Amino acid sequence: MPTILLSAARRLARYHAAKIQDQGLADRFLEEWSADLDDTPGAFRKLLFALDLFRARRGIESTLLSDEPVPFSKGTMAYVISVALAGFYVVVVGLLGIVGGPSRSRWDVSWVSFIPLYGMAAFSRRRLAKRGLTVSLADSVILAATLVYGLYVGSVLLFIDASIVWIFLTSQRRWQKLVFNLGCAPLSLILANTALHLGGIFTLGRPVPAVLAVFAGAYYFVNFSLATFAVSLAEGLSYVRVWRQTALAVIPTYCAAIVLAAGLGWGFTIGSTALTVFLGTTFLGGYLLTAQHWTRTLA
Amino acid sequence: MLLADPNNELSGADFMKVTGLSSGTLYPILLRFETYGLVRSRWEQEAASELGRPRRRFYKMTSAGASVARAAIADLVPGRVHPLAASKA
Repeated sequence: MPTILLSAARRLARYHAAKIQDQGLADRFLEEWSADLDDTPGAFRKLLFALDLFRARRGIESTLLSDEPVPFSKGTMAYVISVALAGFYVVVVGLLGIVGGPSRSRWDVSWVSFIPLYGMAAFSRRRLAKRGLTVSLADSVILAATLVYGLYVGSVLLFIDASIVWIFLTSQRRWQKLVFNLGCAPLSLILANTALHLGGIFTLGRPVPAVLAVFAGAYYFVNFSLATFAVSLAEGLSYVRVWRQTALAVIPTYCAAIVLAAGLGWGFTIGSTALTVFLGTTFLGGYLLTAQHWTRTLA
Repeated sequence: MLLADPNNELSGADFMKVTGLSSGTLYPILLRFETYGLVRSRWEQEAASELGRPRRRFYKMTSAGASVARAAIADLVPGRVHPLAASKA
């Protein structure tokens, strides 16, 4: 009797493996299922294992079909590429500005304090699964550096940050999301600064915490708006609805992000590294303990 | 189990034994995780002819998979960071 059951189980495993349409996977699962069947104790349990491979095959075929990403619409593609190109232009202008700009050697030492803060922030991101948004404290640290070192440095740093996040922390690899992420943050920086400058509200170089907070808030507002617009296009949903629903979830942490960025920028501007580190670690600690979310970019 | 020891490798039969999942549930999950880079798999190093039986296929969690797993564990208890989630490097 056990021999009959074992024989039937092996036949079933071979049958279901052969039915998988992808030949490579069919060969793989034929051998894998045969090995796992041998490792399953008891003839009856082997048979149950083999009988359930019917569902396994269905699930595998379903996985193969769902691997094809849903194509973006033309409107979404046009928007994503526009944001990416504009952002890349900002980064190139930033690089040229850094290379051709005046020496900032007196700030060189203070850069060191940003490194551990950025390192902590880069790996403390959270994901808003409901909207497909990923958020990170790293923006605040880089934004603080922008407040101290200027827009050129900020735009390049944001580009580098987006690259690091993409390489080390992102599991999905659609090129549309990559270029959008790379371009969105630097573009947000310039748009926020332009809007405030045109409004006569703000000019970089005035190390007043309230002014720095306004700039940080404007950056997050623009960045959030650009990202949620992409989500609304990609998912075919109302922009206002996506914006409002997502904003409600992240406004408290945005406020903390703005205070953190302004505090960091102010601390560096007045030359108090200790204050900056204190502010940074306090907010980072609070963030990690409460496990709240920060909206950043599409990811 | 894979999260606790990143070097740990398990075969499909091991997973079924530990988790109680049936074959129909387990293999599609493993394939999907592998497709998204959350786990990595490899064959046993020896050839089937040397072993005298089919080769086992072993699964190992990737760093991306560990990050996702920790986030998922942390999300199980809203407002709290699970010890495994908090221990990420």
